[in-house]
Amino acid sequence: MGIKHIKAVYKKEMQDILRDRRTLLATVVIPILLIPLMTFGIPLLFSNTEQQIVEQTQYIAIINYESSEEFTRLIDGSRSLRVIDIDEPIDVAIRNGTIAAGIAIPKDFDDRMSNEQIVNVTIFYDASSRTSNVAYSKILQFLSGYSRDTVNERLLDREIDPEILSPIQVFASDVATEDEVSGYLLSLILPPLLSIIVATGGMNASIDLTVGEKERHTLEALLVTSANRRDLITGKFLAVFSTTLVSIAFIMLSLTFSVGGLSTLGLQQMQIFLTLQTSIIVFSILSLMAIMIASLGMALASFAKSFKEANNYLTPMLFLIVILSFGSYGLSIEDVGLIPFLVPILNVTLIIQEVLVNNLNILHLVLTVSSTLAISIILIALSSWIFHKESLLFRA
Amino acid sequence: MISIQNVSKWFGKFKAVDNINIEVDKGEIFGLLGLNGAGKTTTQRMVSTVFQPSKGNIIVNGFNSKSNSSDVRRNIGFLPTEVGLYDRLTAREVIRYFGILNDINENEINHKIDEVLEKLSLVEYADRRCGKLSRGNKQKVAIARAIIHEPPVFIFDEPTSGLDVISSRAVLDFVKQCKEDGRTILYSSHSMYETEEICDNISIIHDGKILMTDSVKNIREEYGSLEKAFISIVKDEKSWE
Repeated sequence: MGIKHIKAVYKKEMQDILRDRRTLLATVVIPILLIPLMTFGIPLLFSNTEQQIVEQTQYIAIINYESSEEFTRLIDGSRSLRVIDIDEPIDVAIRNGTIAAGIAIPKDFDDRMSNEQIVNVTIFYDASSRTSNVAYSKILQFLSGYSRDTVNERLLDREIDPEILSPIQVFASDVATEDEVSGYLLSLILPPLLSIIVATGGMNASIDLTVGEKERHTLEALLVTSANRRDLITGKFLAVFSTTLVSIAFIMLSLTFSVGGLSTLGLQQMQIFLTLQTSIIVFSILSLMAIMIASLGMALASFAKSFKEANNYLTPMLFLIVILSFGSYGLSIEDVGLIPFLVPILNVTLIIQEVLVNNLNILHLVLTVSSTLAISIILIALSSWIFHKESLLFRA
Repeated sequence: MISIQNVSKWFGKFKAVDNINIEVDKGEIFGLLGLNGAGKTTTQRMVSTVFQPSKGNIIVNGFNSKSNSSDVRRNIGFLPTEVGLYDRLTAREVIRYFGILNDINENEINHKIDEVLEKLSLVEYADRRCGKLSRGNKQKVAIARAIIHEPPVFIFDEPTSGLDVISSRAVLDFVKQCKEDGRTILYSSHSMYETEEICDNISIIHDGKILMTDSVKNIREEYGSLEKAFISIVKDEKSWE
């Protein structure tokens, strides 16, 4: 009778879940809204903000500017920099935002330049400010050019070809467009986001199906039926798993449409590879994680006496999931080693990242699948054990 | 039909049931009478296999609750104190769910559901979600859920608790009808009047121990009423306050 009982529990739980607005919200609505928001929002926000700062004029101040009118004139207006007077100390002006950066030149700037002596120039900037960093880069570029021009003039005066100083010319060519940089960012942000959405959906359903029975006082009646407890927990587990699968399906659909939408917006250079094959791998790996999350949620929620207690257990667990999901930020998939692929959640995040940038390593995939399955089996056994243990199931 | 033999139950160091013995014959309504926390619910949970006895044996219709728990469950219908239903399912869906879990075949389940709905006057509420039902109708659905598989033994744990007079009367009439149909019933309550009205034999249980077991008829003859008997017996106990 096992299959018949499992089928009955599964059918009833699915019916119940489909009529529960909270679970539907976490399973369907949030993925549908969140994925496009992140997919469109991040590249647009990133490219707009970065580009705007570079194109904007930054105000700077020069200490002892009167010592070289030519230097001041050259820098003023070059590379969107504007020199202004300030009434406050330079560091205070930078912190207050009056200027983005400052330069200190010696009082005998022109004399030292004419005498071909070394001139020390100090740049003041705020490394914690994006605008100040951009101003710093612009000043560095200007000084580099100014220095090069000066050397060239001096060599020409001595009738020496300036090229003698550059036996090797280095050209660095960044092949990434701004969109591609954004795409790389997306490949960092999307995997943890997907993991968190899957985890949240699974947790909600698992609480409702296990501790919900206790809180609604339906557990006793259920345990007295002819169905054995293993069949009850299996039916419930399958329902939680199916719910999470539906959630993943919506995530994948939403992701496919979002990435497709980026192309139509002219952001087709995104380094996100979402073919049918990669979609299937992402779906499968997330499904595997869903099994683990469902078993974890059911084990913890079966142990809890109430929704409140279950939430007390599951909230720290969600924090841990978030930390593990974003753990991939500190790692580079090119030289991450094998250990991270044994760490649950983190390994799934890394695999999705590999898939999205079209760099999947089969050994990494095997390690991830094996460790996630092993942990899932242990957690399923734990849930089943709790459901059989009256002292845990009916804790006073 | 039900034989509780030297049964005790501990929860950690707390002894909830202390070496009790009860025999319930076929077609009998046996009452467990006691205050809150006396051990009535724990005893019924052990008979229904939700809990296992720490010591002793429980035999239901020839099956031991420890070694043949699934057979015991097939032979009982259990109505817990708390009416727990699934608010998002209809009465019919809840009854069907429990019917299937109690091994009723798909081809006869609809007929059985209609029968039990008719018996409990629930027909007009059958397709209404349980969350929308009155307390009395919820209790009826809980009863229907417990008896849908027509077991020979019913275990009712304070079935009139929290019900209004009309709903209580309907439940009591239903219990009497079950007896007429030949069912064996283990009935717990702290209401003297309803126990006196429907039970054939009773045990007064206090602090996990059985203080007295006798027929309602004998108790009436000796003490005048069940209430007088209960107060007289229980007040002699140390924990009576």
